Amino acid sequence: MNQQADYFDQIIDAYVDGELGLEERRELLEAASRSDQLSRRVCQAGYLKELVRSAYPEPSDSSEPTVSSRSGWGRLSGYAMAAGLVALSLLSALILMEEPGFAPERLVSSSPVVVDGTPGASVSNPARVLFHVSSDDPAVADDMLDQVELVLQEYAAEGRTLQVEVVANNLGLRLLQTGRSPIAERISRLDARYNNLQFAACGNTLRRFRREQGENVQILPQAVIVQSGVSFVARRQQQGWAYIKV
Amino acid sequence: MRLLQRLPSGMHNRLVRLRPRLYRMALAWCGNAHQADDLVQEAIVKALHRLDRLKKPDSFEAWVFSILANCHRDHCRSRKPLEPDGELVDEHRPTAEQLVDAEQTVHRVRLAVSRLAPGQREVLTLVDLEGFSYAEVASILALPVGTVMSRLNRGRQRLKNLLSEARQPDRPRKGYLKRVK
Repeated sequence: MNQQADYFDQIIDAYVDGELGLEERRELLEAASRSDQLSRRVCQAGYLKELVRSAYPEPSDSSEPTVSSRSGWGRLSGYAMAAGLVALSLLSALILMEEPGFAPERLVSSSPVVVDGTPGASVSNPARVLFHVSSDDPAVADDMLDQVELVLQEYAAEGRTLQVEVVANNLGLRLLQTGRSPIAERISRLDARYNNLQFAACGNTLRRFRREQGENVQILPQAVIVQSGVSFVARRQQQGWAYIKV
Repeated sequence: MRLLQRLPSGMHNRLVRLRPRLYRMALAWCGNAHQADDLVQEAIVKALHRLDRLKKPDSFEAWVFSILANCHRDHCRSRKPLEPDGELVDEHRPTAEQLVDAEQTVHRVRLAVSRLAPGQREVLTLVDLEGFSYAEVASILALPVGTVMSRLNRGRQRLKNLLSEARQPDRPRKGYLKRVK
């Protein structure tokens, strides 16, 4: 591997680890929005990081205080920065999807969407965005739903087809937990309003909560349960969905 | 026990909360539950003995992680020279292919992590699992930041390759929705 490639890989690493400044992140996302290859590498880097995190689950539940709350994303510089990052990522993803060269036949897997019963999943070539949340932080959840709502409104206003899914795993599952979710009402309202929005909970996390903490978590009626959040993300990425990690 | 009782209550609570996180890290580094437990125990005892050397109480967690890293390195050095240091593959574990067949993503990733070079594994897990910044990892492992970045990058490249190798093409997909809206 040549030095330049190494150098650029390290920039991508720094991006997914929250080590880049605002300008550097913007530059990278702008470059990624113009390059399928680069955007794929950025997504892959984020996905790889998430895979490692999922392989070694957090040892305690959400009641664990400060020490466990540190994460590469959360550490960036607070929620405002995280929200900005989501917005930039979303922008980048949408620009990507609208590039003339971006077509399903160029994807790794061109098979139709696998999830049965997902509204709108069989619509040919819609814009498709997957949000992935693994934090139970209400501020992060609100920021994410702001972005979800924004993009849904924008596409609806322009009469364009859009499919949005939100998958929650690890502590993010709490956001979809009946009786505990801080955003239950908003989810209910969004679900009633948008047929092209789907929430999904990670079945592996559910089983882990049951096994390790004896909790029998009930999921909001607006959400479906998928076998594994990580596999779900992988599948969606293979199918060409824009992936946004919150 | 007496050492623990000497701790200020705030520090004691921090240590209690830190223990499972240390264990997770040790497990990621050495790949063996018993050994991980021993390493954590050793690191905590050393930390308690050296508490007067802690200069910045705010950095307590990172400081204990650095002790854990040293314990792990001491352990690696004390092993037989012919024992492969870089790969911790347990032959009793299922092969990567079997694991993929069983859709055990977690085990597949852990297996791949266990096959990283120790230095890469330390950096990658400190960044990905604990969310330490590059500067913090450099301080914990007593390395230059540039080395942290290059080890992280090489580690991720290798991890990606290992996971790609383990992926089985054209595997029939199972339906994975349990409940439909």
